[in-house]
Amino acid sequence: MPRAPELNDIVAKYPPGKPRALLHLLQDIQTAQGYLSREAIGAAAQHLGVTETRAFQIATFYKAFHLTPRGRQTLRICTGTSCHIRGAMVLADEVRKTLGAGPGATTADGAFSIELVNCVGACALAPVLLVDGEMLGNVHPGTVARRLKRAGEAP
Amino acid sequence: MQLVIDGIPCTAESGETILQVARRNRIDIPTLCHHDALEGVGACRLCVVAVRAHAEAVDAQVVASCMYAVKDGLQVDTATPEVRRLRQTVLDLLAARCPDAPEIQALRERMGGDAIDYAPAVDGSKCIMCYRCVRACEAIGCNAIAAVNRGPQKEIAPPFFDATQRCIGCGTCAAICPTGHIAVTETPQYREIWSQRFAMAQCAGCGAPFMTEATREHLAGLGKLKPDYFTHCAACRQRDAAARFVRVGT
Amino acid sequence: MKLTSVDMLAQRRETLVQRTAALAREVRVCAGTACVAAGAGKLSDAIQREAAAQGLVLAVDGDAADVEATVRLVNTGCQGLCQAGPLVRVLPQDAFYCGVRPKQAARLVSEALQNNAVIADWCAVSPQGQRYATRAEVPFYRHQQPIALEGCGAVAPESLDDYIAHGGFAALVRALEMSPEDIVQTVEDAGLRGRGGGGFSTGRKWRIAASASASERYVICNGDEGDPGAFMDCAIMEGDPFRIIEGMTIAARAIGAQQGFIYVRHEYPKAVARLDKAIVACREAGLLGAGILGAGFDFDVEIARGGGAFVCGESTALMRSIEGLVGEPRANYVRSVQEGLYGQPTVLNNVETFACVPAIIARGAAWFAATGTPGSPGTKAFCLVGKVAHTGLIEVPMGTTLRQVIFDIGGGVLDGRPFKAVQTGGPSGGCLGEAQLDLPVDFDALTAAGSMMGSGGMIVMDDRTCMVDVAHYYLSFLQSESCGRCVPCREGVAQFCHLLDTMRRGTAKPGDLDRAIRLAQDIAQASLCGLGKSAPNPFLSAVTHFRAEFEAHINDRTCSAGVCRDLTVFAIDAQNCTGCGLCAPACPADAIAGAPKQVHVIDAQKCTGCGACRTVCRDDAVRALPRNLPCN
Repeated sequence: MPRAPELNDIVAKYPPGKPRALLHLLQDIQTAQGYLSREAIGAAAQHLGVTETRAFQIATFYKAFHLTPRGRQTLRICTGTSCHIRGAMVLADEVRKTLGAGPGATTADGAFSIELVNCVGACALAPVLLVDGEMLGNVHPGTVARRLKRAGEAP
Repeated sequence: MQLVIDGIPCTAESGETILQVARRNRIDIPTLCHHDALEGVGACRLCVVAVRAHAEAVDAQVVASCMYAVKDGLQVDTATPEVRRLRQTVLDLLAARCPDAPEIQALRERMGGDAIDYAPAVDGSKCIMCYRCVRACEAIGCNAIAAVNRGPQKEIAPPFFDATQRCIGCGTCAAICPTGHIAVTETPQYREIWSQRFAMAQCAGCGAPFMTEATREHLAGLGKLKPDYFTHCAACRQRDAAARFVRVGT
Repeated sequence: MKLTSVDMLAQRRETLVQRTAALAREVRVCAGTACVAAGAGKLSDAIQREAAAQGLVLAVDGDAADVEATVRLVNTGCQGLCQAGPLVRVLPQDAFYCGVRPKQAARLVSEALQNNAVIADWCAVSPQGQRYATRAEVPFYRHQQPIALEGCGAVAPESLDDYIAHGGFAALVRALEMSPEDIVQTVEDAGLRGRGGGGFSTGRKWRIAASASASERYVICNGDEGDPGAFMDCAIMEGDPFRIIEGMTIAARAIGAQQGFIYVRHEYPKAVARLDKAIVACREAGLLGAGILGAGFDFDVEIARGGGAFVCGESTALMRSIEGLVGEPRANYVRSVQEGLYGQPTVLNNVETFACVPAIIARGAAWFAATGTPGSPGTKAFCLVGKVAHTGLIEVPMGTTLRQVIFDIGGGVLDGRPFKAVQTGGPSGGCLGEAQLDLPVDFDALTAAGSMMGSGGMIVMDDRTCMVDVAHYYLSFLQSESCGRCVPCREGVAQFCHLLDTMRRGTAKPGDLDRAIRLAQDIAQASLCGLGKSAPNPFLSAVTHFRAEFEAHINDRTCSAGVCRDLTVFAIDAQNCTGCGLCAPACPADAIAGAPKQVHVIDAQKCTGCGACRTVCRDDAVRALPRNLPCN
């Protein structure tokens, strides 16, 4: 299990028994591991002295958290108002068609996880896609496939 | 302090809620999420009432009577047309969410207003998200269940929707649920709840199953109850107590 | 270096100001979100490379240590005109260049940085062909007045020295000389109202917190800017983080708090990083922590990262979230300013509010109150976005009309299309129409018109925006963001979405509009928290001003804007079509046929009504037609 020591390292950065840090600790784990495993939620809860029940509740309440493993890249479709009125939902449909997986899903080959996200603050470039944090602005439905191909030129 | 509910002058202590004062004065306010033994949450909004700061005040405010602490001179109306309409809407919405909960349908009929049929939930359960089970479980000290997810997807569940050591199978959540949403299977040997099976402890007197082994352990750990509470069922304890009274009396 | 006294801070500023004065020029490259996406980072690198190649010594960002430097390069926060990035501003000429590419760096360095020349052919041009030699002349900036955004786009965001050189922490010094009561009084006299939405008097809030008896008090900065279509707070947190810390420290001094929190959305990782650095720098400099500036006053700030929940913008939910709990609003009727975080008196203001505080303390209440309207003094930052020609971040005096904002600053509707509506206040606000364009930007005026100030999103909509769709958009946003605690919001908003969705799809029944209005009123009355109570606003305001459009969706099953896909097919107007061929590849349904230079045709059977063709058409040749659904 190569991940186990990493989890312990992250957890150990927080003082034990400080329930207030739960949200932060879970965020750090997710940043490192891409999602929150059952093991990770349990470890965070135990370290900070909160119940697993509460840790699970927090992990499911806040949208920032994912409870299943993610694709190699994350494709975020901004659904802020500006993006919406400039056609974000048409883009979402196009992404679904292009990648074969829609918002909330991961492509079969594990390449992309697709998410609808709230405003990313780039309203001037609407509609906006983010591929692993790289921002693609003014994306038209007809060019989604080409833009994604260019952005996803990973291995 | 003094306040007026539906024209009836009532005396109240500071810190009491409108609901408490109303019920003491036999004024009916319907509730769903409220339970006398539990802290209020103000979730169902069925208990809304209209309040005005004093008798001359014109502006009324709609508040949840289960949460609103009384103030001196407060004027409360529990059944204005507006309040009745809001209650009706709450019940209409719940009826759509829980089409299979007869308790909700019954309450709705009792309201007798202009009901609106909203689109029924396809996968509707009987859960109305009153949090009674969660609060009871917390009060017991187990914290085995919580409301997970959010918005319309919110549901009550143990962590990871799976068996948890925190649950002792005491069944309080099911007993306190107003709509019978929480499924419990009882057999002489075990009780199944939240997809978890608990062995039953048998009464040393009559042999009947009376609490789960896990509940017994949990309660014993608290150290606040008499030993016979863990060995005998309620009926046998009562019988023994009666026998003791008889002995004392003769 | 730790600044252990007010004098040390003054000396430090003096040194820094002298060093800055010795520089011949300063070039500010905007490193705001949109400009970075447009390549501002590469541009900044290219300028540094070019400068080195041309033998020009640059001081970069706060790094003024290189005494050889004659020109300074600052990678600033958002400069405002987001859509035209990367933006470059050169001082002292005040030349302003839009859309500068890395390959243009050589010319920028040789002409504009080696000497004082203004590169005329790069300057912004008016529609009439007039060139703007300075930024101050550009209409987008001409009507603005920055207070909260004063440093954003000017200072080096990661440099405490640069903030100090720009006058930073002078207000804190004044505050340390004043009594806490005087600080509260000054903020109250200035008439500052909370910039987060409700517009509650900031001074009054501070007074209540200060007078509540308690052993501990807290100051919280709400940076959970969840309003979709707004990024003012993000811009300030990223572009001028020290100003927020200074504002919070002054608040702490006023109410007697020792601990502060900045609650930042997780979607803003850069803001978190910037604030983090700023806090560390302030602690090292003795501007946070024990004995600030040797004045026997302790205050520290911690960052709390949000988890992606709009409801956490609600004060009681935010406080719960900081406590490590689920961000559900509290259902009590006690004010959080008296019993807030951990049950203690808590002042919670948003980023922009705190960003106004240093200016008020430094320049006085009268100075602040001289701007704006009597009921809403000062200025307000907005994100002017949507179908507007110049999108970006602006700050205008209160009382400026919506028309001035949209047409004078924003340059009117995108592509010269007709104006239809403007949305303010985000999911708690509403849409205003043509008839309301002369309303002043003012807390009370906007509320009276059925919208609200909100945090500052201002979304312009043209005739190709459908109000039913917009109402549905906001309600589905609120549905997915409802915490789920109370029935009216959890179930009611979901039913609401369903009702609006049937209107979009042409399956609504007569009477559904009245049902929706009643449901809206009931949700507004019966919900537990402010978010639930305001949830129906986007719908109610849209119905007030655009009722006919709702009726057309229900009764005629037509969407005049051509947005609701189930009600719309597109067709090409042969008169206008030039056969340019842009639309055919844009069509996701392969429904468009036509030879080059020939009139194209849309197959109505295949058309999915997405409107992609209309978006790309430059000749206004694509028309939205009713799909003519069979009657129910």
